[in-house]
Amino acid sequence: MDLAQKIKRLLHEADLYRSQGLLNESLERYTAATELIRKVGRIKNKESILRGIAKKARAVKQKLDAFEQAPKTPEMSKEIQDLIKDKFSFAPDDTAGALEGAIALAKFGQFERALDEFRNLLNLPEIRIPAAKNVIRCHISLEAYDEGIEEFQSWSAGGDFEPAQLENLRIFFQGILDKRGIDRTVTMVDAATMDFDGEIEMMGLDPGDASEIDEDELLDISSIGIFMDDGPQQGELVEFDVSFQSGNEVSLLVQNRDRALVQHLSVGTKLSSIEFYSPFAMFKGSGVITSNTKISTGPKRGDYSLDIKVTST
Amino acid sequence: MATINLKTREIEAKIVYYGCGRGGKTTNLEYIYKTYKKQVTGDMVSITTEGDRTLFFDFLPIGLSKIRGFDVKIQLYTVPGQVQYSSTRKLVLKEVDGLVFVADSLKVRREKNMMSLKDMQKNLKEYGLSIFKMPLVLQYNKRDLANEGFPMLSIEQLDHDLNRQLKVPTFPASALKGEGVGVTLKECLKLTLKSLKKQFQEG
Repeated sequence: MDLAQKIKRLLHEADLYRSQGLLNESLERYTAATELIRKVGRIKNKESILRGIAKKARAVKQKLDAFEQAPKTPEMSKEIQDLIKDKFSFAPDDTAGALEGAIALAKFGQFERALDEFRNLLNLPEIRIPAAKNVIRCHISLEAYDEGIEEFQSWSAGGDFEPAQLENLRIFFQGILDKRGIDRTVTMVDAATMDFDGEIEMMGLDPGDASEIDEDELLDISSIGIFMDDGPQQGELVEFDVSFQSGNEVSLLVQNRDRALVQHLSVGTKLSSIEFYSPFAMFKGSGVITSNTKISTGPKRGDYSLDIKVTST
Repeated sequence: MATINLKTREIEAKIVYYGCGRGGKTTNLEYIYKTYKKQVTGDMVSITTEGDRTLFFDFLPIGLSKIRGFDVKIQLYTVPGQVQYSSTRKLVLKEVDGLVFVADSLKVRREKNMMSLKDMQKNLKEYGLSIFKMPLVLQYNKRDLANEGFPMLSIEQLDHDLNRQLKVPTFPASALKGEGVGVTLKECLKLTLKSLKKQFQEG
């Protein structure tokens, strides 16, 4: 193919791809054609051809820039948010479903609406902690750090949370802020900074360490996938949502229908292959089951609470 | 995973259209919405961004006639094809029952097709699903563009690139003109319902 034909072909393809919305492909060809024309010594109307191509390329580039700069998670209408909440909630029971729906809103970047939903869920004791953690996550995503701290302090002033729960939430919140290099200190209001050392001790934490975040603490984990070495789903990757995370320990809520699976996850079981999913990354590691408890009271009665200590990532 | 409601005698399943950006996933759903009015049970929802590109997903609910006394409700979704919406694609894929992979027949999109298929396999794996076990059909879209001078991938090339190992049903199509859209969906529905039947029988 001679040079003139090659240039013609490139420009033709550039126009075709532009018509298909394949903007990168179009721009590449306009650029290639421009370079070829510049190399050619004598060409009739060279400058005016180049100007014409440059104009088309600019228009394509503008469209590409507009796409790049468009908000990635714009606030949607209430109808769309309702659809997201409804269609991305798969749990069979209402409470877990409501939590899942609110999490879906947050995952689609609808943080303001998700905040409202999570706040409503704070009234339900069985999911108060994951709801609170997600309220914190939403504030972080909205970069509304001071508002988040204020809301946390309103919890510590109220009576809905146990002091030990509050301290865990404080550690969780402070940990995220520190990891992002945000210079804020999460403190409780005085009324709630009562004597909670004893309760922290009961939870297996050293009170002296409670205010400090381990430098090597895990990223905020939203769910994990365990490759089952044993049991009914041997060889499969089974995914669980994380209901709570404190440092390198994650808690999972497993439904009663999966009890056969839970029986193969007794305390001390080493899990050699775990996938951790955080909002920012997926990584692999290992862990050990530190607690496997059947819930005996409340709406989650019959379900299982599993704690996993992450040993390496 | 599909839901079966014995009380209301309803089966609800989810089919996702996957593929690279600008490949014609939304156009497939738009054609179904316009053409199969009898089966469509609600409005098509499209959440788009600049340049009409899918931002989150498209959603279209359809209903099939009764199967053994059960109303079959199908929810059709598309994923956003652009590379940067990886986490949204994974989210939309959650609890999927059947898949249509829409491949772009343009030669210039060859690598994008393969990357998208790989991305789908990875996302399925993260949900503990195997691409080899899922009800899946491939659609080779934009076949009509051969007449407009576009450099095209041949069907053999597409088969070689995408279906060498999968060996699933494939359909040439032009979603814009509606060619191949119905037959693609029909085959996917057939495979999906067959798979659901097997799952329910196994308990």
